[in-house]
Amino acid sequence: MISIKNLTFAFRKNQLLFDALNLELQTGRIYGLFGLNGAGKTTLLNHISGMLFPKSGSCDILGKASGKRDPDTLRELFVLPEQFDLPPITAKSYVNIHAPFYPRFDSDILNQALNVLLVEQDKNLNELSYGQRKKFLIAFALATNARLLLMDEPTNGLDIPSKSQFRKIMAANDHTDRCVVISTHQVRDLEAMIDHLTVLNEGKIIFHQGIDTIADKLSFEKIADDDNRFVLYSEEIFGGKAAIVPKKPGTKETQIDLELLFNGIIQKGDLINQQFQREQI
Amino acid sequence: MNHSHSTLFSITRFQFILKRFLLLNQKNWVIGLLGAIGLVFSMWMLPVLLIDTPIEMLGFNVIKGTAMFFYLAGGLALTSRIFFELHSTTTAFQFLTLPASTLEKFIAAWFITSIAYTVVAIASLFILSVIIEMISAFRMGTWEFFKFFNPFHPDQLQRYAAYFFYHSIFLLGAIYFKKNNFLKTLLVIITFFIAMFFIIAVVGLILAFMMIADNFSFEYQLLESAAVWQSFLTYLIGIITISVFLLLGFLQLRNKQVA
Repeated sequence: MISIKNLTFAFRKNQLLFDALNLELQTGRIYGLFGLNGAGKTTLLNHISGMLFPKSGSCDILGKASGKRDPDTLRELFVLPEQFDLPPITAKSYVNIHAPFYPRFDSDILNQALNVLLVEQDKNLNELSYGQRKKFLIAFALATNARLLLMDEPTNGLDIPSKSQFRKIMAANDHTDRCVVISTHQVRDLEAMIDHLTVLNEGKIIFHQGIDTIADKLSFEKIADDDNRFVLYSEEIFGGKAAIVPKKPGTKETQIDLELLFNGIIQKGDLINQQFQREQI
Repeated sequence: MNHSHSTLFSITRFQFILKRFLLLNQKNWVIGLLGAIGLVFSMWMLPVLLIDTPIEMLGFNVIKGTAMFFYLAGGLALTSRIFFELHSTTTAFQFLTLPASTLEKFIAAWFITSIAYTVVAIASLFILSVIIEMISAFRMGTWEFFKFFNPFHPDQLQRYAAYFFYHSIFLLGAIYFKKNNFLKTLLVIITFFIAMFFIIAVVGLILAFMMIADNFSFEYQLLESAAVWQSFLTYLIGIITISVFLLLGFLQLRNKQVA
């Protein structure tokens, strides 16, 4: 679905943000794209959507360079940015002028999502609150049935019930022929939703594994301070430590703590990645 | 839904973009059009309301120049704003990722701000001229001065040509500049003409100096020949210039990046 090869990009000369970045994203998966502030998550999404062009290397969607902005590619793509403005028209008018561009647009999905997310539909879109606007665009994005959804901080600005509704709507939709990339800092909002974790740091993909593989290789446990086991990464918590330890074959899978894993990858990425490389060797 | 699979240009997508441009801008455009017509009409009304206004002052011809200025300035202002979405990171995604080719988006913007705008503006002026001439006729009690605005008069066609010329420059400015597109484009044009004026003046002075110093003189045949070609060359240069600016505008849109 998405193929990024040796992508190099800089906003300023001699300050490379991406240096020979490589990434392959497949259909049927929901990718969580995590990274520290300034890691380049939004810039990466902008490359995938064709808003930015690589300085060198390539970024292809469905076999075509995203920077070409080919209509056949764009009809399979929908971008939900973190910050956006909508025109001073009603939701109905917005749908009337944008839906025809998407050949598989489904009004039933739209109406269902708008109702579940409690989006006000009688006001002009620019008069809605940030959260309401975001919910409208989430509903529209799902209704396009585009094969590639790029979501930059989709739960930012949503109230607690809306975050829950967002997860339900995402879970209810069929993503078997779709690739969803969710860039976020709100790890806990989305940890039950994503099935692949991608971590971007200092312009490079430093971790790119499926949730099943992670669950198979790592164990997330609360351990005592005097526990002598080999620990990949740990954080002090009330009454002990939250730790990532190598999972022993045959032991029961544990609930993945994405926040802990993210911190572990940032601080001890090499050590954690080694757990995944061992089997490959 | 009927979708053409042409990558470069599809009439269906072109129509969708036209509809999108219209719906997103209709409020501002209607207000602008009605405001301009109201202003032109008011300017005509002022002398009409004066008791001693001569009869020949009451026709549409009196304000035709002003009306055409509004046509030109209004159209160029509208053109400067046509790509407003491009220049903000919060709106650019909607335009750039809209499933249509860059050519379709560019031609739709060109079409709506040149041909469609001219048709609507001139039709509105024609209707205004009919209203004004009818009021004049009723006021004077005679149909002697009953002259409607002729949109196809040769002078008018030249004005449309002038609009299409400047329009191509403002369309490029609409994509190239991020803010105050109208004023910045206007400034560039004024600067260009001032520069040209100085270059021509300097060349003229050099030629005059040569004529005095070397007893050089133009042959009459040369000047006559230039006059014959002047009209043709004017249009040829105009068409080439419009084409170059449109091409530059298209390339600028195709290469536009927003982060």
